[in-house]
Amino acid sequence: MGPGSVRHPAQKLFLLLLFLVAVMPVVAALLHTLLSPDELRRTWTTLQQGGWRLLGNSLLLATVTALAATLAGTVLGFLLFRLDVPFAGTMRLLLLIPLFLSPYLFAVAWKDFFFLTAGTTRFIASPAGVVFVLVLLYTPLAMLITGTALAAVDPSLEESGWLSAGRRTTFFRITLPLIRPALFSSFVLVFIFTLSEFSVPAFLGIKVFTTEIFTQFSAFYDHALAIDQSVLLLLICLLLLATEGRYLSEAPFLSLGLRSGTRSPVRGRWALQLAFLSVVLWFLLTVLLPLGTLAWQAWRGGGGMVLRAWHLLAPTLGRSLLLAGGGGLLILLTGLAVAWRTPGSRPTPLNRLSDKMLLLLFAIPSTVLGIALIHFFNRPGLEVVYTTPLILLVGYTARFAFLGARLTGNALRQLSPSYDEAARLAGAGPGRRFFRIHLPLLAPSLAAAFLLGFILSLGELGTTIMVYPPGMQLLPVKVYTIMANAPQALTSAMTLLAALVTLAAVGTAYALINPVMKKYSYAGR
Amino acid sequence: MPAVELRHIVHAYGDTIVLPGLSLTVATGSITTLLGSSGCGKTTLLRIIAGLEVPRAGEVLLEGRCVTRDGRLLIPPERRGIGFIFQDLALWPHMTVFRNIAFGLQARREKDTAHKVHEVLDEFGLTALARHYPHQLSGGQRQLVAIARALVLEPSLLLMDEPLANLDVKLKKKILDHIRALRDKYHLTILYVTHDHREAFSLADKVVVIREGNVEASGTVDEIRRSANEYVRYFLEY
Repeated sequence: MGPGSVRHPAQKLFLLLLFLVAVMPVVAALLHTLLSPDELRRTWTTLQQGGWRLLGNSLLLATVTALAATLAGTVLGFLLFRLDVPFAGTMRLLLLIPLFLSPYLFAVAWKDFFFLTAGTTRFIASPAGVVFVLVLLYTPLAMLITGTALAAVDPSLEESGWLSAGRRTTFFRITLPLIRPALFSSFVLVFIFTLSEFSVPAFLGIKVFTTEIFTQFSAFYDHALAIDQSVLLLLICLLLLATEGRYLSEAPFLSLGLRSGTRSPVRGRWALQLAFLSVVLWFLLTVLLPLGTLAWQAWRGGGGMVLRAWHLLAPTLGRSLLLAGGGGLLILLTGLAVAWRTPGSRPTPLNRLSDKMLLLLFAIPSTVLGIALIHFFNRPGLEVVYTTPLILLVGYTARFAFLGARLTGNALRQLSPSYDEAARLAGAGPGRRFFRIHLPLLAPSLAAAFLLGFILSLGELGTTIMVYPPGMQLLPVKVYTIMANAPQALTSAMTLLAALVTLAAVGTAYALINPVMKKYSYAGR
Repeated sequence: MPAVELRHIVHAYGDTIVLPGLSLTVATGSITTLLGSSGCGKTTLLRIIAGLEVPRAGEVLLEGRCVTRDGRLLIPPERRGIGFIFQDLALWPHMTVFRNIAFGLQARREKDTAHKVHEVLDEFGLTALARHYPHQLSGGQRQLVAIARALVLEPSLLLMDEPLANLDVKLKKKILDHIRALRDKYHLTILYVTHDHREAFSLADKVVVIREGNVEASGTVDEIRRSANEYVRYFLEY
């Protein structure tokens, strides 16, 4: 038994606040339906009146997307994490671009592409089209998860397999079973993201559960039914988490400074060139083609169209960037508060409980979270949250703090406990140890948590569109609401500008943060 | 009065008992090596003396003062006046050599920190490396920084947990000579953990052989060399 983890009162206070403002609304929404026989009856009736079909659509869409993205992601992960492909590091980063941008941007781009090349949007505006867009969007996530797992495979395990059974058998009998948890996690995460995705099916006109919840809420003002449907979706997500919660809550793939110790199983020049070509083609397909299509469409509309789009978007930029910055900061702080424990000590019950809370919030579909927040905060005494940007910050934190917690938690796990012990023996108290030893050593991961939080908050649409205070103009909401009635060229120009602004903001934030990450990056030294 | 006295120390990790009731005395000013195979409990023993682990039962006395008793830390690690050299050295990677050494002095708000650090740097021949970061140092230089960092705080007891495990034989010998000289100069008591009996014999005044959390044998280097104990003989053969 060691002297134990230092728990600061501020950490407990922060976690209590998180519970009150983010978890309570979801719990309240859940109880509202489950404890009321009337509501349960109403949900059952809704399910019988087409609800089952809607649910079936959502589940089928999510299953096919998750399977295809995991398969494609595993292939890319193998190419970029296991082979000595030229520029592998740069290509890994470039392939992640779709994750930096809001999904609706790609829905617009691909609709434009099919319209321009085939003269019809029949394919893209169908469930298959939604799957196509989402697979391209989520494959980088699957690549990250499976690639990290592939890189972590002990080379000697594979090499001993090659000697006795050949490479092909080794791959199927040794490598694949070893990365099975990552494959399953990739499937579950993409499944949850797809089930939660609102903007792509909404823009392409496909009815799924999230779009229906939004319709019930904003078109028919049937808040109660929206909540009932949300609870159904919530229960499905909880069921999924129950199967894979342990590995997901560890999320080893969310980690900086992981080094691959695995030797490349393919060394032939031709094979590597083919691998490189495949990766470049994937980059063209998933990044350059959609963004190029948007640029082409916007250009066809003339310079005036781009200018008009800019005038429409400009008023939203300052506030959107500021809110995304606030979201990033809160995601970082929440992640740190949830993950923090003295290096080397075991997670406290408080760590474990708050981690599970964040995983739950992360898995909840965005519109469902929005409904829960509105239902909870739209009451006398809580207007200070409901009618101000605070509700957006709560939403961003609730949705993405899990990622911040995992980045910080995994970085903490990699810190040698002896750093803390040496400082303690030198006479440093908890505060000095935290600020002078732990914080600098965690700086790269904290910076990454901020950057990730900033990117995700900037592009978040599902929760934002549900909870944004009246009169407040925000980037994703503006693009989404205008594109329903605007000419195609204007929609494309706005989408392109939104994408460029996001990439510029991400680039600037990265440029500002990168020196911190480099200065305090010690992995492998 | 002994520098360290351990009375019936019992310690376990979960259900696995690593120290079933060990007692040990370390004389002031001596170099004592704890010798034993991996997992026999020697590192745990050092950590218990430092206060980094709390035993389930037993007492730890430092210079006659009880610092741990029956599962309770009476004196926290930072107030025990102990220097500790970790196996991985635990040099803070984001601090220069100078800052690594100055950290403890600053934490204790000591005056004239810079002067004291420069003195130690000079003594260890590290002045030219003061602005270097740990990853820019060789293995031997890192060892010296770790020892300098511990000694600048003027501990009376220095605990060393296999600090030379990753060094070549020549460098190991040089640093062992240095450690002996430091003991004489600073009147230190040194408790040194190793699984290498050659290292233990070349350094120690007294050798304690640990087996499964118990003292199997103890004595001077010659006594241990001549020991008739079957386990000790077996251990020394390999």
